[in-house]
Amino acid sequence: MRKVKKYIIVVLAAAISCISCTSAPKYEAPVEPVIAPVEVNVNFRFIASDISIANPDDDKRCYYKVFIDKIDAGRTTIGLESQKKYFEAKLSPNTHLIVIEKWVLDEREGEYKKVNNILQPKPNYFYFETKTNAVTEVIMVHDKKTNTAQYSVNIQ
Amino acid sequence: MKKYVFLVLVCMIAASSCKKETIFEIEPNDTYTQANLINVGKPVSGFINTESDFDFYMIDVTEPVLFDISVSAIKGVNIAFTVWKADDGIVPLKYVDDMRKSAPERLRGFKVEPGRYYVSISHGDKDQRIKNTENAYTLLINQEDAEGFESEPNDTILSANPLPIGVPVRGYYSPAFNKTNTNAANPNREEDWFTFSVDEAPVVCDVEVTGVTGIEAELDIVDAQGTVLFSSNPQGQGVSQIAKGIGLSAAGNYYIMVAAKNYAANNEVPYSLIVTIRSYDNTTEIEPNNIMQSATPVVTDTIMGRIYPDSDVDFYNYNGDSSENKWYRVEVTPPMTLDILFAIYNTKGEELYSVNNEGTGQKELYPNLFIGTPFYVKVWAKRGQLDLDNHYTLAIVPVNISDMIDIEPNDTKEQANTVPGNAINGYVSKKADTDYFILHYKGRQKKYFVVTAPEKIPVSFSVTDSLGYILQTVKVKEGKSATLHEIIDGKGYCIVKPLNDTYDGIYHIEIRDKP
Repeated sequence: MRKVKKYIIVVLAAAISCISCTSAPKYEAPVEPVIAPVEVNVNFRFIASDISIANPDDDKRCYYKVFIDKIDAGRTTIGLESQKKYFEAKLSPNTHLIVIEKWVLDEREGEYKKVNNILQPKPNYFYFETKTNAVTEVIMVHDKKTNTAQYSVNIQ
Repeated sequence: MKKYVFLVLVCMIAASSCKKETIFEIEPNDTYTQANLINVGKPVSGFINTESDFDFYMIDVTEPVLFDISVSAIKGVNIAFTVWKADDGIVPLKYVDDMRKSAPERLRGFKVEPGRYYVSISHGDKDQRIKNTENAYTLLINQEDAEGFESEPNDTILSANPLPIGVPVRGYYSPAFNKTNTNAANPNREEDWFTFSVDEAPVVCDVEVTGVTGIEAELDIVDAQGTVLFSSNPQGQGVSQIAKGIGLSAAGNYYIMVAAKNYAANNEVPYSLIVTIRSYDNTTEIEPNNIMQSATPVVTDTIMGRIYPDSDVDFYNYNGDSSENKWYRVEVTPPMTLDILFAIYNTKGEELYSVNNEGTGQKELYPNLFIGTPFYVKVWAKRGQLDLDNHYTLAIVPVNISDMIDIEPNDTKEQANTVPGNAINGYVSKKADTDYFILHYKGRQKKYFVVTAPEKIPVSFSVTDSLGYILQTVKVKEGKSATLHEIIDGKGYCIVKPLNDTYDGIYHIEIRDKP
């Protein structure tokens, strides 16, 4: 009898778990998913995101323009400030300087505009090392409240 | 003294004998068998003795002439008269009644052949019938040469007068009303109908009715099936009505109707009507071509047309040599008097593009029409503009430009043209023409855009993100090149805008992977 009770409990538990599975919210892709980098032969990755965003209205679409060794190297992917935005490149093994510039979408004008210097991340630069057989990942987290940027490096 | 009195008396007698002798009707003359015989140029007076009184008069005609029949007014009475012809009894030819009290009646230009005619005078139909035995009316019939005049009654299409080609025929806007006209659209309108014959078709005809003081003429041209080929628009009083270049596609009889607007009449000045015919050489429009179904075919590179009358609209049908989509340059060159407009229609009757860039006397064009045949071009002018004497020219010329992908309308992100390769050739095809192009790549790709502006048009070139928000813009001077590089995240748009009001210029954009 005890054995039967045990089975019933197991069956009920399984049924409940099934029901909870079907009622779980369906995942929907964002309108424009952040495009993950596709280049494989890279040794440098820059990842930028913002924190301390007061409310969703302040979470704007943006990107960071990337200058490496004072040369315009391109820009990150586009995403909300709170989202991770990526830039990848193949660099010579050496010490490099990255300088970033934040651009935010002005929805009324329908175009991206450079954020005022006062509101740009500080510091807006970082020195890092690259190697031939490893990927150097520079992660920048910008605190929107204080406009301060924290950089960290991860060599894989 | 006695001598003087005698002289005065003699003079008075002489003067009284000079007075015209008034001839009065002899009652009873209530039926045509009792009609009083009268003569041309001799007035006769009579009374409306009773409410239902009819006074019949008869007159004998020995040669074809035009009658001018007038009956003077009777105070308080709406008088009317009818003209009859003796023909195994009598046949009514024309009823004349302007439906007004105390007003005279007149019928001028009434052609009569040898024979006996009757005129009956009675009370008109409109008002309450009353008699008047104190005031007499006077009937007077005059005659004039009938050569070159219409032959009334020609009030219906069935009684239309033959109209010789190239020979003017005159007629009067007389009388004002035709009570027997029960046409719901124009009840009681006095109409003059003419007919002419076409032996070989297709041909085009020109018809002109001269202006008459106080008359706003109306002119219709109708084919044998009753289809109205041309119906004039109001041109104002005293102005000629002209139908130019009316296409006659089948041999047979055609009909012309002339009338006065608003029941106006003019018994003094005749109008003159002339029709001329010329062969069709494919270089001019064929009116009526006011709707797509009657569009003039375009078989040569250029065709001419006129904006006449006011509010004239001309449709043309271009068939080309194959139904495949091709590039065409469409131009309309107006006379100096017209601000011309044109539009392109597909076979479903949908307006695809409308072109109105310039002002009066200036050419309108669409340099990069990409379309399959057949298609239609509608040409018209700004409201109130017309020009009978000068024509516009419509030119439709196939063009061949490699890598041309600017298919209008592409003025919005939603209408963007796909870029299939690494080059964009586009047209600034109108004032402030904005062109959108969409780019699709696998993953992120950095691209270099080398933009060359048209010779006389500086342009701005923008690249957007996948949602159409502008990432970068570069301004390129006229005839110069500039390069912009941008990363395309899988999808993006290119936007080209002119920076001045000039148009009709080709720009080139080369898309490279490297600088």
